[in-house]
Amino acid sequence: MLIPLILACSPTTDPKGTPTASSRDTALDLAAPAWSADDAVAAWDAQDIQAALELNATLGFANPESIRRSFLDFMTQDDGTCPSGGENFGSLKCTTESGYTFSGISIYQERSSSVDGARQQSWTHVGDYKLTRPDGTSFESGGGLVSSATVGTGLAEIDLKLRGSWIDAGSNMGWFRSGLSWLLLGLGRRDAEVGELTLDGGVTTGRAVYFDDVRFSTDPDCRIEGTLSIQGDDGHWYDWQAGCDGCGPTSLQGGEELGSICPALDTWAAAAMLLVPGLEPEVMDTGLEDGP
Amino acid sequence: MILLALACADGPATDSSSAPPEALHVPLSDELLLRRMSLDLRGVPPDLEDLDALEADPGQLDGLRDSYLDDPLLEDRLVAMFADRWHTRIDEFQVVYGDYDLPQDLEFAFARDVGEEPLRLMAWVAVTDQPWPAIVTTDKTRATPLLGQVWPVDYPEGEQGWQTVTWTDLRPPVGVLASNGLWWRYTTNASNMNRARAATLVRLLLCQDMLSRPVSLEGSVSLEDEDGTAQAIKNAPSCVACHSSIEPLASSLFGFWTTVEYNALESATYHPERESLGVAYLEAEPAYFGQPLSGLSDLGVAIANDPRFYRCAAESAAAMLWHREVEAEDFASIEELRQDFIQGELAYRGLLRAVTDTAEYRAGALADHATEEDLDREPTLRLLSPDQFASSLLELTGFSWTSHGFDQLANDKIGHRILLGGVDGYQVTRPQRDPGLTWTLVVERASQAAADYAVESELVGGGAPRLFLNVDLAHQPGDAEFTAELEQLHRRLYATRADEAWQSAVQDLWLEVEADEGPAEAWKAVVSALLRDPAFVGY
Ligand code: HEC
Repeated sequence: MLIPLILACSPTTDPKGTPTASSRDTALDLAAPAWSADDAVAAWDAQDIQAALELNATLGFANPESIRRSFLDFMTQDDGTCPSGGENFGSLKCTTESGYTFSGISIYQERSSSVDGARQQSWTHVGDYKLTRPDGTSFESGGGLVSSATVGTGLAEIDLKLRGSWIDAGSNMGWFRSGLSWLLLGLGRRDAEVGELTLDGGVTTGRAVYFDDVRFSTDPDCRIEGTLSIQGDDGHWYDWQAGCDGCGPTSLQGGEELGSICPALDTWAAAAMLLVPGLEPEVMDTGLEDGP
Repeated sequence: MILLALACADGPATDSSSAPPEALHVPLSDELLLRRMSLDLRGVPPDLEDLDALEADPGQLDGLRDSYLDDPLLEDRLVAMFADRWHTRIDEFQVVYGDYDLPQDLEFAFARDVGEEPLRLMAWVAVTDQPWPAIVTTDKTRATPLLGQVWPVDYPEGEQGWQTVTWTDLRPPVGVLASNGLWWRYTTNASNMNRARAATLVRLLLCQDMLSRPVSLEGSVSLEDEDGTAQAIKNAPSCVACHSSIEPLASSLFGFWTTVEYNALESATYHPERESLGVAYLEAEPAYFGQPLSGLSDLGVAIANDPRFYRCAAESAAAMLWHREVEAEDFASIEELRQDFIQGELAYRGLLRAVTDTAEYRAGALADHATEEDLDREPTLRLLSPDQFASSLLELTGFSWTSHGFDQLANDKIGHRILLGGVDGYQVTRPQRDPGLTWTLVVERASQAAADYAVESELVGGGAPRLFLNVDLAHQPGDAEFTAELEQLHRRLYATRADEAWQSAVQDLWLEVEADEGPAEAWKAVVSALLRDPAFVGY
């Protein structure tokens, strides 16, 4: 209640002649940029979106297996005292005899079992560390990766939960070398005919890309399908609704339509499919086991 | 209607036949006002030249004040004053120097740089006269070489000190809203979901306290299970009142969401791919009090278009320089400041200038008719903050108090900031207004050390004159140089001229110590006493 009351008496309290409400508003308008949410203007056109998607694809498709391999490579340097204690280490800072430095916390667990002839393989890795090679390149992490796969002869399935930030300056993969941040869920399956991977969530490698139920497939007739968004320089998101023919309309997220594009993403889509494991090779019945 | 009457009572009467009410604020003398302005805007007392100029022509006061507003020292002062309100200069963040393999003697510098980053950004906008909304729309921040080494910013090679930099990690151009220092101070977690951050923005930038409204837990609301709480936040009227604004704001901040707390890599970089998480976690699209936002990039512009932002700038500048909270009675003064600010093209230095023109700022006492309430509300004597005390000692004596790389008056890990009435941003969030026992002890130790330093380096060591302009160790009371020395010290420390009684009391003290311990110790005793004097530590 105070505000209207005080406004009500302001004309009499200001001896210098307070500007009227309307002139005050004008002053404010001049001072601050005019803005409303409806005004959001697309800084990019469809060609810009296509170029950004294609450029981003040149960094490759982030793959948790590569991260795991980088980590396990470091662990082979264990000299019995540093880092020691298996694949888990905590709050330590040490340098191995071979000159590798371990600093931080890691948890790594691997499980595998066999059920009905299919191999169940899962691994979990949580990293909050900085590992440095003798050449000075470092592998840094803050995040967690969970991969649960079942691999049989006729069917392979995988469930991925990928979080956090990962960067390895010594990696030969573009996305890993320049750094990756993600919060992404993946579900994949592969049978004798076709492999598929559905992604939900976001990845930033160079630019930020968001997958809203995007399905990658080995099917040459439908390599990618779903809504893929990429962030522009101005912070706005641009949507591309990928159709099976590799083409689809683009728009400023929640705003204007920007025309259709067919970006060249086949190589990238194929790299995405590497996240889904291959089938177990059929074991040939040689009859040898029966023995003489 | 009582409120109405009170609100209007402060204004000049409109009826010209009735005499204006006697002013509540009795202004300080010109010299003391100059001292106050110099300490507030530069962190050091006025020098002799300025005092001479003012003595020769009292009309110089405003011009001298304007020169203080142009002084490079203003930037540090703004940082210190903003720190008392933004609370980002804490001793330890979730990410510490060790996470970057920095040596231990950089522990203080690291935390200090992180905490000052958002404050330096605002101070830079102020001293470069950019329109104030730049604090929420610029793509720049400020960084030191240390931050340049560990954060994704393009710190210029070969430079030193605080420099203007751009983030290199795709964070939107939203000034202080994209500041690592701010979000490292105001962290969040899986149950809080950026809500505290949203409330912090509203409090700091709009001066609205979202926790001050009463919360009533109606019978229908069950907070025992997570689902019940989630439902209540969205539906129960007692929750919706606040949460319908908090959730959409919180939802715009998920680019600063980390998946591992305490991790340097996660905390230092912006995560654009997580921006839409708020929609999933909070079931709320980003919005600014009902106005949809396409993301964090819109939030800065939305704030810059909110009239509350400008009122809040005026209100917090006044609070900073009045050394008290702004209250309902101040509405008319704040409104005037706000209009000045807008008409002055939103230059923050213009706002500071306007605040130093107010009667509240210039008061040295309150009139006899002041009520208990007035006396309680209006501090007419300010206590030097730890920052002001430290910068004044440095200016006068060259002394700065550090230990193991820790600035002793600027932290509480290995230091005495709180003891000296300062704000650590966690336990203590408001500067102390009155001297206490621990305050006295710290002032004593610091004064002794500063006096020691000045005497040893200048009078004993023969270093360049800084504090002592006239004497050497051979001069005795009665010498013209001795009298002149005390006179200049009195003016530089207190801004006023010494009288004879003071001169003779100080000479007595000097002689007493000199008899036992010699002239160097006598000067140390004198200077340390002068620095502890209420006329020095108050302003
Ligand atoms: C007076 C305004 C207000 C009302 C009314 C209110 N809240 Fe809040 N609530 C806040 C603010 C502000 C925050 C964030 C502040 C903070 O965490 O420091 C918050 C935070 C929360 C959080 C996150 C707590 C955490 O940190 O984990 C939950 C849960 C919550 N409120 C539930 C409720 C529910 C349920 C109701 C209704 C019974 C309710 N609130 C009513 C203002 C309010």
